[in-house]
Amino acid sequence: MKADILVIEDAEHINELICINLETAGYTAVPFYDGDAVSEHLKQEVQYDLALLDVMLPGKDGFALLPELKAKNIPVIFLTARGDLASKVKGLKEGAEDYLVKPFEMLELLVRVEKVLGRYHKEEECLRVRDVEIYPKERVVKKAGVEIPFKPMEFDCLMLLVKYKNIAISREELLNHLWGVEFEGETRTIDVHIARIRKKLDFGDIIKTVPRIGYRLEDRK
Amino acid sequence: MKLSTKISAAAVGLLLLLSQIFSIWNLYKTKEQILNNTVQFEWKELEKDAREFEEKYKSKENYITGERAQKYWARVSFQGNLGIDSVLYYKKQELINNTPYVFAVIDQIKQKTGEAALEAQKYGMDADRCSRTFLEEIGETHLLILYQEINETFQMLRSRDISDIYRESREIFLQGMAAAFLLAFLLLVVLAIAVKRILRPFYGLRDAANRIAAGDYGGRIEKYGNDEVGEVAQSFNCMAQCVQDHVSRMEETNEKQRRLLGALSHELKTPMTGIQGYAELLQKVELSPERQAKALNYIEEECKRLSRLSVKMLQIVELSGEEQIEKEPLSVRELFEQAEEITRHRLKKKHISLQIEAGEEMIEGDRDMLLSFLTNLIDNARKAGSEGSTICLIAKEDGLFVQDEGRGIPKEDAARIVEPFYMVDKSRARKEGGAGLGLALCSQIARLHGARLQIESRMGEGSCIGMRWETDVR
Repeated sequence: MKADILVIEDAEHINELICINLETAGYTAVPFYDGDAVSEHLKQEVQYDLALLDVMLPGKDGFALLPELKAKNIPVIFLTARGDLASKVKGLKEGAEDYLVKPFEMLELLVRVEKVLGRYHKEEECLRVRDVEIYPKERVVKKAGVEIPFKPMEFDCLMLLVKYKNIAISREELLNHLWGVEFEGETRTIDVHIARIRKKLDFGDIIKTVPRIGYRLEDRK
Repeated sequence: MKLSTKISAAAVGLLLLLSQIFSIWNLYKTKEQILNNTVQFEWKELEKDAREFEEKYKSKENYITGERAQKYWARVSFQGNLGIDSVLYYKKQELINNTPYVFAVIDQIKQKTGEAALEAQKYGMDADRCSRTFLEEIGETHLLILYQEINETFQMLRSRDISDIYRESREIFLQGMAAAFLLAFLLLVVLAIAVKRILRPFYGLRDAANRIAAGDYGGRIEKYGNDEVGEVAQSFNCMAQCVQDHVSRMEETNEKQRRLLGALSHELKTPMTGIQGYAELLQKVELSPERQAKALNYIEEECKRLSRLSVKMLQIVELSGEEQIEKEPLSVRELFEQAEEITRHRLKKKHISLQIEAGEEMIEGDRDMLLSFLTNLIDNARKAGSEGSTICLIAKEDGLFVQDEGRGIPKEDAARIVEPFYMVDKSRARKEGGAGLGLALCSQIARLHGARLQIESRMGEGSCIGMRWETDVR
């Protein structure tokens, strides 16, 4: 159901880490460890929705692989250990959609992946968690077919939890995404919102409290 | 104030002062001489007149009686050639005055007879006769007054206007002054130009110093003579050269350290990304037990690697600061055996055997450092070698070497392999747990033992790496 993503990164552990992250968020991740293998693989009839590409690779490096991926119409996010401007600019200029500087946080990776995918595909019209249906465009939440009234902030909060289901989101991250980075509100506000969502949707066991971190919406098939 | 102005001003001021003192003294002396001459001349005239008067008067003296007659006769005798600019006194009373002045000298003479005698002597006068010289000043006019007693009855006075002498001397003084100032001005101009010429090399020196201060360390003085200024210029050039060398050396070191730091932070990023990522994953996602174990294992591995890296970095930083180490005599064979013991376990895993080729050589060195040197090289050889290959520790006359049968080092990498964090095959080296610091450490240890790192390698056949003594320091 969700997008297929190429993960091209030579450090095995990092590659695996990215794959686990993507799979947890519901994507299908395909790992590759060197440039030449990717080049070979692309010659076959394959289609991917996105590629995460490390710049420094054995065999063909990231900059060399970029045109080949572009030719297949696969959007690319660069992974780079270098924070220097020159390589970022070079990557973006040559057609990369975005870049990610190591070390990065999980949510940052997922948000960037989602943004790039969003640019290429239409957002899903309906998100489902058990008997609850969420329509992002109309901002409507239905439980068992009955529409339930949601305040805007509560709706955004629910969207974030549903989009990154199975991943815990910290109170700070929720605050930053809902109110913006500058907001210096109390993390208690989040707890209040979560309590209301739980009550309205009867999600007491679905939105789990993760000690010392935040909340996680669990929905495993 | 500029140096040339200072020197010129001082010279001109001194010249003016000295020349004025001299000319004033000179003028004074000359004036005194002229006055003296005038006084002598006038005295002679006065005495001549006095004699003439006396003779004339005495020729008829016997026929004259009574004061009236006497006065009359004296008046007649005084007329004629005599008595121009003169006064005749009769018993200290003015009798005839041919001058336009009235004199009041008689009273003064009474008081100063003692001095008068001395003065008369000075001008070669008859000291018996009471005589006296005066210099009187009436406004602008200077008068020379000479007084003599001819006898008890008659006294004579002669005056002479000597204003001319004073005026002329003043004029000469003023002219001299003007001439001195003119000369001083000339001197000022000439001196200023001359000093500026002499100082010209200093301006070059100044400009060069400014260039160096502005950061252009290549600034030099091109032209200089053989004088003291030239010597200064030469010393300056010498100094500039030293500064330039020093600065470029420091820049080199700086650049090296900057590169090292850059490499280090880059080297830290990969493990940090992994550790951070897996830790976050463990916190936020409910993973399967196998995946959890894997993530924890990975975090542990990376942490170990980081700590190895920091230990080696510390060693390198410490060693690169040191110049001297404490050395003790060591048996090479013992050293080799210790190195084998340390690495035995690791080598066994890959079924690599270690051979020792050493006699009874002794070397001077630090045991721990040399062991670290050998184990580093053995580890490298182990990573390069295939299963079941052999590593050979060799002690020769000219050094200690570790030989392997590994894959060798590509030629283009051989020069850079000593640089910290340089790895020929990055992803493989990381897999083996390397940090890229081993050879950098080895080269520092070799340097401290008076040796240099020698790398000989053939692709596919193996490498021989070790320390070769620079001189015979054993």
